[in-house]
Amino acid sequence: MAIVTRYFGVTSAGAGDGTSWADRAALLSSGNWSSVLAGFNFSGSDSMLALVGPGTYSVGETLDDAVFANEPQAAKTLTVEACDSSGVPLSPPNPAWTAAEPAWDTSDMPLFKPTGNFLVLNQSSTLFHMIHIEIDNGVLDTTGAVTNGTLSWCVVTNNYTHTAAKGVNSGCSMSNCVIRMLGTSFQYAVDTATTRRFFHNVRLEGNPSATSGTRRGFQKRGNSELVLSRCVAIGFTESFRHEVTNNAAGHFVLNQCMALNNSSHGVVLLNTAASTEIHTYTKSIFAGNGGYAIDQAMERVQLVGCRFRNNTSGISNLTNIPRLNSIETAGTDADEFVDAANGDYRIKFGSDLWGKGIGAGDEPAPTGGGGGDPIYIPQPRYFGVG
Amino acid sequence: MSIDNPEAIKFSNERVRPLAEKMRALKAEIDDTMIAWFNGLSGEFADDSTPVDDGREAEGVSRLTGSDVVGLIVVAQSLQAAMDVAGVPARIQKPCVRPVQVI
Repeated sequence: MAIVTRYFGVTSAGAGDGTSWADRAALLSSGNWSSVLAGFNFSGSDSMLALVGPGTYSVGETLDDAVFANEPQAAKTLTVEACDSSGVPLSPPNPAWTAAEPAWDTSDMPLFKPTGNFLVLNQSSTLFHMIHIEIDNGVLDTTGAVTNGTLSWCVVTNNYTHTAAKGVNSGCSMSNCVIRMLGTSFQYAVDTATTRRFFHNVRLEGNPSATSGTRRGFQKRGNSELVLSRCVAIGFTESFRHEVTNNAAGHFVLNQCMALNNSSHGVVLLNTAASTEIHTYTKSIFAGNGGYAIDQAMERVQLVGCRFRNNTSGISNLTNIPRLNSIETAGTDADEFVDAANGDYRIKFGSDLWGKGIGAGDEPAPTGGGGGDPIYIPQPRYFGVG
Repeated sequence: MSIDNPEAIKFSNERVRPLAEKMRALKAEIDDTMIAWFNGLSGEFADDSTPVDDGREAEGVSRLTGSDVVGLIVVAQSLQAAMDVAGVPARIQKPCVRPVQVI
């Protein structure tokens, strides 16, 4: 068993077989995935590390099972990783980046741009690392960028204006990613259906100028657990929405998350049945939302150690839900965040919230220390009551 | 004695406060639009049937004429005047929770 490394660029070089950077293959040929990639035998014993150089790649078809002669599998995966113009793998420019901050500089990352209305990635045993996917407004695209697969340190930018414009769909797990919905009309940034998913350190940015479409951040539709750790959703109608209305809805867990400046509610829980699930929200911040921090029907919610501030309709539409160890005093973005006007929602050093593990990340202390550094969790974890 | 009817409290939180914020944002946007209008743009729109050449008809969007634009500005001005009456800005501001956000 081995990891076979192949090199790819916008155009080929040397022998063009991908066996080295000097002999790199063209990742796409007339928009179709390279035969070096698609023809690899993933049913053997090896996995592939595909190192992709900088540049703009016009993607003309989805990377899915149908592309491969023998598609990637659970024990024989495909990793598509960014490299520099010498074939050296790229590292995240700021490994300490938290979802509370704006995205890092992506100019060195390969840019995948779909040319039509189809996904870029729909393959459950494929990981994209340090890849930027961008959908132009001129491209008809109501499918979104990714359905199945895993994204690590990726940025997805969707400029498409349409009520059905989407970011990332069910079946995709993400860590250390940014999803931007920049059209003036869109449906959602992230949607999960019936698959169990875990998201860590993910930032969702909605367009606050958008005027149509449902414009949701995270949307959970299926009967399975959705665990969000240090995820931030800003500028949507709702940051987090639980669409399921039955007894087997699955837990919807938020730990150190932030629902900020949405035109409506921070969290919406729709279940009106006698749900058996208990949704646990710990050390999360709900601030500046135009409705409730949490708008819930009958669902059971445990709130522990959260910060509630400046939500137009109040904290919750239900007044009988205990809020354990919560912080509900007056405050402002300027008091608590490093630079909210420019999208930096790290907890400001010196504020009452700093150093308490609340929200997605703290500003480092002047000496260079400080809490809130992102943690790298290779496996999903479930967070219970603090 | 206070207003403690749960329906009244719900109406206050879910209707009154968000409405106040929307009204405040609308006033700020109207004020900004009027500044642009009177800084030269008003001269571009004759109050007649001359169409605005924005190419939007291909989307199925209504074709605007000069008089359409002038007519809307007149409505905006009357709303601006109503919201500038002494005491009205404070009345709108009082239920607001969040800082003004006009994008």
